[in-house]
Amino acid sequence: MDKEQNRSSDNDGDTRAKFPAIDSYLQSTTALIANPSVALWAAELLYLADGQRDGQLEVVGHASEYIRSLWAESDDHIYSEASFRQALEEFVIQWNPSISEDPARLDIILSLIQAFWPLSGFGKIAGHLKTSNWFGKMYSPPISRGEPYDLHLKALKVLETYFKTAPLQSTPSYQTYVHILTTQLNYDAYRGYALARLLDLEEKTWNDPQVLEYIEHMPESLTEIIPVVLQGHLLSVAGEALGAFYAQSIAAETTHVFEEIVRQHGWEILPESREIVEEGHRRIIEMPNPLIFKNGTKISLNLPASGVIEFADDESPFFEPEWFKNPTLYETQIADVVQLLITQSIRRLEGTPISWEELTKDLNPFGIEIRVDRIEDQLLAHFSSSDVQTPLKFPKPTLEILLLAYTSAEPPEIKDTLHAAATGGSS
Amino acid sequence: MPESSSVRDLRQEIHKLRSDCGRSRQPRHQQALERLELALESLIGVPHPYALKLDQKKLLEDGEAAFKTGGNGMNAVIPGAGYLYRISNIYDLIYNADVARAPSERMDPSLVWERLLNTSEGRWLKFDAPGDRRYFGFSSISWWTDEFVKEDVVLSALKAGLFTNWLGQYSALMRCSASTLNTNYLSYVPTVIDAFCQLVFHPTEEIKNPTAGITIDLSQTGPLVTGVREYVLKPIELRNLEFLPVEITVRMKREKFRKHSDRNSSQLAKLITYYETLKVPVRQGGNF
Repeated sequence: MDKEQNRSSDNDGDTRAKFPAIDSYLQSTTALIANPSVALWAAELLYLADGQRDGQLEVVGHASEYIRSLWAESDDHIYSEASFRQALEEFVIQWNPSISEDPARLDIILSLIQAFWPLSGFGKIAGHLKTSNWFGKMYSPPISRGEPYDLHLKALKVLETYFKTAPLQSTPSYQTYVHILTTQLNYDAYRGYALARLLDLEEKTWNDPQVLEYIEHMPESLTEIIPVVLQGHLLSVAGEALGAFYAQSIAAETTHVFEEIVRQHGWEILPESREIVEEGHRRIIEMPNPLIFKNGTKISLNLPASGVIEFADDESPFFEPEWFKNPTLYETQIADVVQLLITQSIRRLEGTPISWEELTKDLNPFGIEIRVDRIEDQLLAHFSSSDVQTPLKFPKPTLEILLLAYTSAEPPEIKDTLHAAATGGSS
Repeated sequence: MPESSSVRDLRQEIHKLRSDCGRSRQPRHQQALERLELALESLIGVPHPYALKLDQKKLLEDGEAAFKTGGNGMNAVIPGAGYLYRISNIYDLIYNADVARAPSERMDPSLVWERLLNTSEGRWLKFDAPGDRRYFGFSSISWWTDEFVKEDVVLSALKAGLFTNWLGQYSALMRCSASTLNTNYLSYVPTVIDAFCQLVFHPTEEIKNPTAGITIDLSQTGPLVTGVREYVLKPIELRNLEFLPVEITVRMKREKFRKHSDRNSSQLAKLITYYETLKVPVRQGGNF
């Protein structure tokens, strides 16, 4: 062993000249562990930011873990931490952030500020982002397989550390922070995160048109926004907010994105029947995904009618046989189904010429025909088995389509009546 | 700085010893080992491979196929119907298993870890929407053991051959059922090539046809001894893995194992002593 050590010592001499960084690593960390001081930590921070500890970062994954590992080994870990924090504060004070910052160095500085939040950290980053940016600056950490991340977004995330919640009273720093977030709304890549933060801080509400419009056009932004809504302080409005977001997803045909994100957060979506009223057209439909549960907590998705209407196509309305035994008693239910069947026929045949025969063929097997009450100026469903008639209500667009279909089949006076009903005039 | 002036890089000596015993114990990989050593000296110009940066490792990868795609040892057999375990950190799970849910969450690893911890409540978690994604580390392999006591993570990690300064506060214990691995022939006996950049490695003797590798137990206060069985896995589907977020605090490390770090020269000296015992001619008996 002695022989080996002597040989190794000789090699050390060569190595020291050839590889000063390796030698300085062991020298400086050994000294730091034995006698931590602000000066030694200041030097270690410079080595770290200079990339001379990348080998260690690949193992532990993050600059903060490297720092903590040195505390853990230190003879006096409390003093080591205290002197590190002072050294970091001074390091950040002397840092002059610029747009041309080296990505690897910037990542380490941001990581340290995020983990240990030196007082000067907010001012340095905010000061830079107020007038400039780090757009397009990407970095792959040593532990990754080379997939880079966006350092501008990371800088925004580091600022979040200083304002996890809004302060009780607004301060100049907070106003600057909100200003920076608001500025990010101009950029697609950062709008989702900025909106989520502004919602979280209650600087924007869930029904802000900017929020809803963005969800419709950028459904992936829900990955940032939904977690915020599911957090405690917004839970009271979660039903309405998620309902509105879901409606936007329906419009954009991206409900699968919404459902996947909600599922990822451990929430389950279950079906439930629900009655809705749309422009006087009442219906009971089976919605596929109206409820969310988590750990016994239940949030109803308060979907607006414009959102739920899409689900109507999936249902199969039907008449219960007993309704026809006493139609007077069930005329409302029968009218609902008649209205629904006609509306569905219109949807099914959308884009093609629709004949009256096609529109009403689903009603024929039940002995139901549509009639016009010229005196009351309304449409009626007539049940041939009992001679009972019940009024029907259709939204204006549906009436217009009925008019078109009717004109080819009925005498002029009926046409006039329907036209009057459709345009709101009297016959 | 009382110790600093006497500190020297014992890792060069470890590298030399490891090369010698690697060649004699695993002759099948001798040529590849020599090619890697030559590349280390001529291409990268460093005296040992235990502090390489990523781009330096990539240079080695480009020159040696067996290093680029590891797991070229003998097929391993995992005894029993239990699990293989691996202690990793949240950064590995974020970048290599995609556990962050939003782009911004990816930038805050401690937040991801906390969320997972709250979700777990002590239960093993599955990876979300794993699809056909696979988990692996450098050289397209990952290192596992079949013995791990989750109640004492630091001790288990040391027995598995990991120094405490390699463990992060925000960690995760991973596991994979042995039956999955035995069925799919995904586990291999680690080779000197797989471990070329690893400071701590016991090269098993090929002549004895080992069915597993063996770790060096770094928890010892006296001389180091062999530890637990270890395996390398080829890329494994995330759907076959589970994980448990665990925290390894500064206090936990300091409690019993403050000095068990690769920055401590006495630990490196103990490793040198251990490697010297591996240089002796192949002994009879034993599997390693």
